[in-house]
Amino acid sequence: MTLLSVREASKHFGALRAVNEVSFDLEPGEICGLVGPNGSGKTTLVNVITGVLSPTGGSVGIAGVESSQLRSHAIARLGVSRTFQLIRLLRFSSVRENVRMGLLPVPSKLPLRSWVQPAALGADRRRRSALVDEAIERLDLEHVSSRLVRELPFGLERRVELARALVSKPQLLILDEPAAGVTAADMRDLNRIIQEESSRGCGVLLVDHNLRFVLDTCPRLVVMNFGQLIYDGTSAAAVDEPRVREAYVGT
Amino acid sequence: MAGFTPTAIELILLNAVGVFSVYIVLSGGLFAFAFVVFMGIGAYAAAILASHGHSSMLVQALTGIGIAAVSAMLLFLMVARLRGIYLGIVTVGLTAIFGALINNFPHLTGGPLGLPGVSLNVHLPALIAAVGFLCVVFAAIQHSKLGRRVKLLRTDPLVAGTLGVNVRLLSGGLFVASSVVAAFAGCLQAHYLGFVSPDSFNFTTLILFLEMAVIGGVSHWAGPIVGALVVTMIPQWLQSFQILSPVVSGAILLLTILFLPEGIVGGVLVLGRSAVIALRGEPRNGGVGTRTETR
Ligand SMILES: Nc1ncnc2c1ncn2[C@@H]1O[C@H](COP(=O)(O)OP(=O)(O)O)[C@@H](O)[C@H]1O
Ligand SMILES: [Mg+2]
Repeated sequence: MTLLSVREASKHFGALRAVNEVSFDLEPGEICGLVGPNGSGKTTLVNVITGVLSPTGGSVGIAGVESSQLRSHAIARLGVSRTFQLIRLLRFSSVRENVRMGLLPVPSKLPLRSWVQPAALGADRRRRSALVDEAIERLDLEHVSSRLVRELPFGLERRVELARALVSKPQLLILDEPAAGVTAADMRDLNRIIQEESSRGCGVLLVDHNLRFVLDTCPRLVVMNFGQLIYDGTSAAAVDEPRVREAYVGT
Repeated sequence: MAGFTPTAIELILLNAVGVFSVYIVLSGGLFAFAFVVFMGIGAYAAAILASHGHSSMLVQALTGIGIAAVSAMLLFLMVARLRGIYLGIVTVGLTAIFGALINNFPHLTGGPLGLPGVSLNVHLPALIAAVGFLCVVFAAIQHSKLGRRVKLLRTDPLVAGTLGVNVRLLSGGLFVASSVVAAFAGCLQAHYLGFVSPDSFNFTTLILFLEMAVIGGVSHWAGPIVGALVVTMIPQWLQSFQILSPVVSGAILLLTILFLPEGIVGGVLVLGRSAVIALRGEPRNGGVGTRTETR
């Protein structure tokens, strides 16, 4: 089944058509880059998909569920995780606490009667704790896991946000400019994690205004300019496409 | 410390119950200041029922809490779209309307003179039990999934939504829960003082309780108690300079907001953390500066 299906989705702010009749599909396990110059509407499209903004037109479907009228919490519970272009963490909470917040959309699969069975509750708590440990480990955050986010050295915050997005094992992962201001080592880890998520069957939408990282990571690209989708195809062919080149002239 | 007479302790505990109602909304980042109205509903329900011969405190408390909860629900349905300062303005306005109502229906409320005749049956043990119960409940919530949701709602409602928190439902739940605790506090107050008066439920009360909540802090369940203690004791500690006590509490409020944005309790916890890290002698960045080189 198609994982994400965007159908003529629009988001207009008054006269500004930030996203204008955009359509594309994403299959489970697919890695797709969403690129376009600054202000072309990428973040707005991500906000529409994740229910942070409701579209002014068109529809969005996630794993067969019509989601354009759902609010963000309901979309999160469909298995959609995201990161933010400007990192949004709880600065006065520890790294571990932040990562654990990523489990909030995952319902406890405990039957009601287990609320009186300490053993079942304990097992559930250990299972969740193990998931948090795993996400922390995957992003090499063990040595800072009890630190408050505001005490972290620069550059680790994106890893924390990524761990928070991964801990729930989402079926759709949307990363909004995750490569902005990170080191080469961070880029390698990010690439590895994206491939791992994909092979687990998770669809990945990778947003960037810079083509280079996306070209290395994503076999497929969709390109936006002035709110419209101007290209949807392989990354290899994208660089030869005149409309794509035109959008990137002078950026 | 001087001044902790039995009466002072009773007053601190009585106030602490009320502050919990403010804590509930503020801990979710909701600037909802209708708590004085709900305290008034709880107190007047007790006094009006008492004046009609219904002397059971349980019946009085449940009536007040029920009326407060239902009106909070209806109110929330009307103001659910408001956040931040707009919610604040509307709910402060309601406090003024409530004051006008109780002053202008003397047949029912006794008007400006208030209503006597509530049985004087709340003393230290009942107050300790009430505050103890609230502490246990809110300590448990703070370390639960619900507590995590509330913290996220307070810190960043947008992220809360994308992490599966139903922002509108949780806000509404906090608003109603706050009204329940406020009405309970009002009922306790009526039974502690033996009468109710409109002077207990006006704008000054609103400021006083807000001050206690902010000074104590809304990030930890102990905040309401510490806030109630500090603000209630200031006039006692300033015995001979009574006139200064609004100035001193204003100054403490300002200093708290400026230097301890998480309140006294939250501030002490952060300082304690830093102290522990310093004592252990760990570098502040935990040696992570070398991470990329060693991998
Ligand atoms: N909440 C908003 N209100 C009004 N205009 C907005 C809002 N959010 C984004 N925009 C505008 O929409 C356009 C697209 O923005 P954005 O989606 O952030 O682009 P990108 O992520 O591709 O850089 C920009 O012109 C931006 O100013
Ligand atoms: Mg953007």
